Amino acid sequence: MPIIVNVDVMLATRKMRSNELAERIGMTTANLSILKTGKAKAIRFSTLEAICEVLECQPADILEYVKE
Amino acid sequence: MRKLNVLKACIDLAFYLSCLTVLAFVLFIPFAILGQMDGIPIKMQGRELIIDNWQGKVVLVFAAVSALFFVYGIYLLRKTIGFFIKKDLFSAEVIRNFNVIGICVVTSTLLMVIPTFLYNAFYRTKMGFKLEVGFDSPLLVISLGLFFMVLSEVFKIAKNLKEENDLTL
Repeated sequence: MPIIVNVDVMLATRKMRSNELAERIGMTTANLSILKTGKAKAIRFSTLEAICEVLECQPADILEYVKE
Repeated sequence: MRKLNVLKACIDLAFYLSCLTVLAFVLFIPFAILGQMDGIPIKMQGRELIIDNWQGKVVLVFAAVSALFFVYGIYLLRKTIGFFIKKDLFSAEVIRNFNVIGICVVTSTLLMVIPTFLYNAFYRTKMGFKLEVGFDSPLLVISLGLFFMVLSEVFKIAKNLKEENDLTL
């Protein structure tokens, strides 16, 4: 999939653990893992909003388009 | 889901009765082939056959194979309903089962209708069309088989949509 999810990069720069993010956005760690590994087919605006709010970033910091 | 349990009970009963019919076929066919039932009218799968020559015996064998296909279809339907009871609705096996059930129903009907029609046309010089309403009509049974195949395709689409929904975060 040409859309790359950079949540792990943002987590590293914020020095935050995955389970802490999962807990704060109200998502299971299993689902966050699906998102991080790029297996997710779609992301809701509400989820994106919650991630951006917790990580204090923009959607473009999390999602990136790379041509295949 | 009470209806599902009633359906399971009906299909179970139909399956066990069909198994008895197949057993009867297995016991009866050698006698018919050996010529001990010549001239006796037999009604199989809703069609009347009079076996008095080798062509009639071939039709009888086709009818037996047709019955086996039909029973296998009922067996798969029973298995599929078992998946539904376990709430396993969109698995690959359910999709495959629906497709195979459709193939079995269509094959079974064709194996019964075509040889009987040809036999009646060439050897009994009895040709014609009978207007029927209900499940005795081959056209309706073939349509039912095709419906199962379409249902398989619909379930395949539903499975993909479900996967997509599950992977939407």
